[in-house]
Amino acid sequence: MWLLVIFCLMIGIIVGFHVPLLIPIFFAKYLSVAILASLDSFFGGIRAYLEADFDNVVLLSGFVSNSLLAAGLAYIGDQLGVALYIAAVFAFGVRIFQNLAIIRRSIIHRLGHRPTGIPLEH
Amino acid sequence: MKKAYLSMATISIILGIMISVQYRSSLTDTNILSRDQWAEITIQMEHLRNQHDALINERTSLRNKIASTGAEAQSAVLRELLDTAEIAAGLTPVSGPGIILSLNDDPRSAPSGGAPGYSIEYWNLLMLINELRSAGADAISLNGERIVATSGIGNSGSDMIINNNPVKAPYILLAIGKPETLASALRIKGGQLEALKASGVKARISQADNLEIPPYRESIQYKYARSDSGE
Repeated sequence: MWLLVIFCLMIGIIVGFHVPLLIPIFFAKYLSVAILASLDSFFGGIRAYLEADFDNVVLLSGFVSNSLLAAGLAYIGDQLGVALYIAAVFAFGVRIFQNLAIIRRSIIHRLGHRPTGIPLEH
Repeated sequence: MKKAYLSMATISIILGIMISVQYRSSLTDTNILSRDQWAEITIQMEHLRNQHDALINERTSLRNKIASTGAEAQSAVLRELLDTAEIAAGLTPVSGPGIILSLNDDPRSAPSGGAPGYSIEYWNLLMLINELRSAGADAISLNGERIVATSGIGNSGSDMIINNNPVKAPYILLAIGKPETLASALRIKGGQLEALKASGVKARISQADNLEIPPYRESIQYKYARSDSGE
């Protein structure tokens, strides 16, 4: 799983470099918020996989809807003159860190580490 | 599990594309401007364009002035300069639209440092004059005394001394300029007028179409300053 994910990420980056597609200045902010939302779905997917909780539909629908919603919120915020994108930054930032923490726990657990709070069996 | 791999793979690819496109865009446009910065810069550019045009016009008119070298033309130019200088120095009576500010002072227990019984101190008048100047007043007079660059305002007992002449309350300030601008500059929150009204002074602002402001009447004697203009 890991190799696949990292490999695909690299493929995406390389493809992105060669695509003759540039984002005009205005949209840069919206794209970065969308990237944040996608990162959240990405880590959410990894966490779900590690917890054997994986749901395809949830992952894909979350990916698309969160990205669109984040970019849309930033756009509306710009029209209204209020920095609404900050809401997206906060929400997704918090979730990313939570997911990362759970992923880390999961990996450590799988590697056989015993939490120090558990008494040894006799 | 196959499906899990597929969707994670798709997401990773799309994420990678988005990241590198964003990165490339930020490279080429080293200054990613937000919409507000963009608007601000456009306004600045417009302003600079106007300045540029105005400067070009000024240059052509100055060139024309130089080109008219006849003695008559030269003395006309000198006359114009002299007029401007006299107006700026306050030596000529002027008239124009502006505002009249009248301040009625009630003798009450005054705060420390002032003439006993009055609320208006000399610095209040100075602040008012300053506010008027900042709002673009062309000429100002206080109780008939023209306020020029060397005018001083001070207290002596219950009199106010302006241009070395004593005046008494009520204080009438005349200012020539754009009436609406001057009036709203005086009425600004936190301005001198608000503070004076709060301590009991009765103030009235009226706009006028044709004010007449008298010239500075004292003799001009520079005992210490020497002209340095070595052109």
